[in-house]
Amino acid sequence: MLEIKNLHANVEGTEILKGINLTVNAGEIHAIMGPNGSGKSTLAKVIAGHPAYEVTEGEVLFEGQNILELDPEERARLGLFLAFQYPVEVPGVSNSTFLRQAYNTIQEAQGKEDLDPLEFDDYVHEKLKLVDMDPELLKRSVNAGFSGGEKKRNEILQMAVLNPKMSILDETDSGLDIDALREVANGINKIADENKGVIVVTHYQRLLNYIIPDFVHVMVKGRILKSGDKELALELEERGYDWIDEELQVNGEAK
Amino acid sequence: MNTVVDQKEKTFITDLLELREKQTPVSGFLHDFRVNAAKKLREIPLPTTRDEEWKYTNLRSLYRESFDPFFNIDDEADTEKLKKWLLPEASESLIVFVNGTYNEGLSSVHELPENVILSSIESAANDYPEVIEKELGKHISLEDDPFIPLNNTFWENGIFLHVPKDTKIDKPIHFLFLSTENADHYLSVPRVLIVAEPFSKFTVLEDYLGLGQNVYLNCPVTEVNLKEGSKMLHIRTQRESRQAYHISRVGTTLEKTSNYESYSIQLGSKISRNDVWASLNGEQIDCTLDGLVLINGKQHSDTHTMMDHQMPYCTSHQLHKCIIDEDAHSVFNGKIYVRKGAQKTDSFQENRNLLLSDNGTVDTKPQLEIYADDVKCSHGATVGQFEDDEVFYLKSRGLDDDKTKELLSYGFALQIIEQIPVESLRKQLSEAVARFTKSGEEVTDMA
Repeated sequence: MLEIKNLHANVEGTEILKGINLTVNAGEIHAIMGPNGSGKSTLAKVIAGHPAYEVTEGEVLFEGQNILELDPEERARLGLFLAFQYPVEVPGVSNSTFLRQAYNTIQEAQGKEDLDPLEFDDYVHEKLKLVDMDPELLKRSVNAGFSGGEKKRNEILQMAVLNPKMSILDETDSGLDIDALREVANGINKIADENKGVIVVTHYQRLLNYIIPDFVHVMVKGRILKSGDKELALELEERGYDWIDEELQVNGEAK
Repeated sequence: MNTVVDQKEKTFITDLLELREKQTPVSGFLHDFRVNAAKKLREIPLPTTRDEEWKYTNLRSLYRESFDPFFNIDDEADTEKLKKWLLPEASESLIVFVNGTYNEGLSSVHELPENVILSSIESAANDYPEVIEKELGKHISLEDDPFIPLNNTFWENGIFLHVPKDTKIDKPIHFLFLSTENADHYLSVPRVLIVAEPFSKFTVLEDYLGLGQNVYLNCPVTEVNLKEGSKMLHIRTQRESRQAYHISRVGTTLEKTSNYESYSIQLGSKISRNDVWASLNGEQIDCTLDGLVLINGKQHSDTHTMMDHQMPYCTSHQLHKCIIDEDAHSVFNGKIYVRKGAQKTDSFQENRNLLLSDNGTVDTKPQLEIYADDVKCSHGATVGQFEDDEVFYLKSRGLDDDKTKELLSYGFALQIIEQIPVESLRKQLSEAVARFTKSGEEVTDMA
């Protein structure tokens, strides 16, 4: 579903991604782990099309189509979704209206039915249950004055509503206490199915106690240095990230 | 000097002064008030861009026009059209002005507490001469400004609102200043005087509304005196004809522990100039002067404010937001003056400008003059478009550039509109903002 080939990207002239290769098939959950500054959030933003990053080499294929030339909204309409690490506040614009506009725009682009406000209200209330979110937050301005946890829940609510084929969750666990983490992770598990791909970007292993990844990749200094199954995440939790870098440097595979 | 006088003789003001004998005669204090103002009006030259206070606002097109005084024109408000702008919350606390003069027939004030005085200034000058003489013209003054004397000279049937001690008025009082559409090139000079006795509390909505797209000059003056512990919410909306000139002056005197919260929303006019003075002359005053300006086409809107901190322990807040599209031009000059004795002043000022086009212009000049040494003052001004991260966030949800721009502009403006506690007005203005940002009906369910 998503194929990343030798992806290089710069921000303000500094190379952050130095040749990423990754394939995610439908039904798979991939975790990308790595220390701060490894480039994992950059990877998430580049896939979604953030204009601050310049792709210098490589390809990102989504269902066979190279999406690097597409605007972020075009990628979203194809069924790509990024849950932000730092969701943006949009004062004055109500959450429900924002959600409905996004939903209808994507539905229309995919040739599907849009929903009027009343129909949408029913639809969104179903989705609210998935993330155990207070319906009052629908009436408030998008993320404005939301707590850290509410913002993250709101991202997952958007994921549930927009129903993307491919979701990238950027540090969705940060800022969540353990109960909220469990609830949000349960929501993600309910949304994910055999037709969807998920990439979970995280610094810590704890989210992966609830969202069991099929694959774990370790990213250091702009490269994926090691891939494995969920056991790798546990090992990282125990040993930290340094050993991977050292091990590979000793073997001469990375510099 | 002679040339200046010669030039002045050709302006609409000298023409107007010649018609003064046709005005309804008044006697006593008001007569003297008018005569003195006319004298001043003759003396003060019309401002040009060479004057510091008018550097960015060129009134040349105004000076080329001629205006008939309201008492020379015969045009009635279309009552059917009027209905659309009435607010259910204020249906029985409604004061209607037509072309600058109070119209008792269209007004309805049944729901105001009995002890509240709401009458024409002329009759108040008979009934309470000592109050009117003490208050009228005392809360607003500006040397070299011809527009206050213009109003002082010509106003008729102004309105006097007196809120007695400890009186709380629940209903908002709606002052609807209509400018009619059948007549053209007229001068309107509404006058309002508000005196709030200690610990009173009330809301005033000043609504300047043009019913058509004709040329006229509206030059309103509002004076407010807030005595100890009184609290006033003052919402001013300017929705004049887009061919009109609107030059308004507001002067508010605040006494100790009073609270003045003012929101000024400018949407209409070809050229608008809005000057607001707040004189904080007691301790522990809380004063807000927030503003929102939405302009496009060839509109020009200029806001000058003065927050004059004279006494210690006062707080002031000023958030002035502007959205400028197409060839419009926005000017902001906000002065915060902290006098020597005004220790522990806590003052915030910010001017945020959203410039949506390449041809729009923003001139902003926040000014801080501080003569006290123990104060907390911040001020700033920004001019720009949207933050990259905001735009990316909305676009990553499938919304295109236009929709993203609309939603973010709408949100930018709604931050001020949301503060308005009168639902029907808030809805009207939200819709006006939505039309401005071209979001149409999709966003009207937001309030």
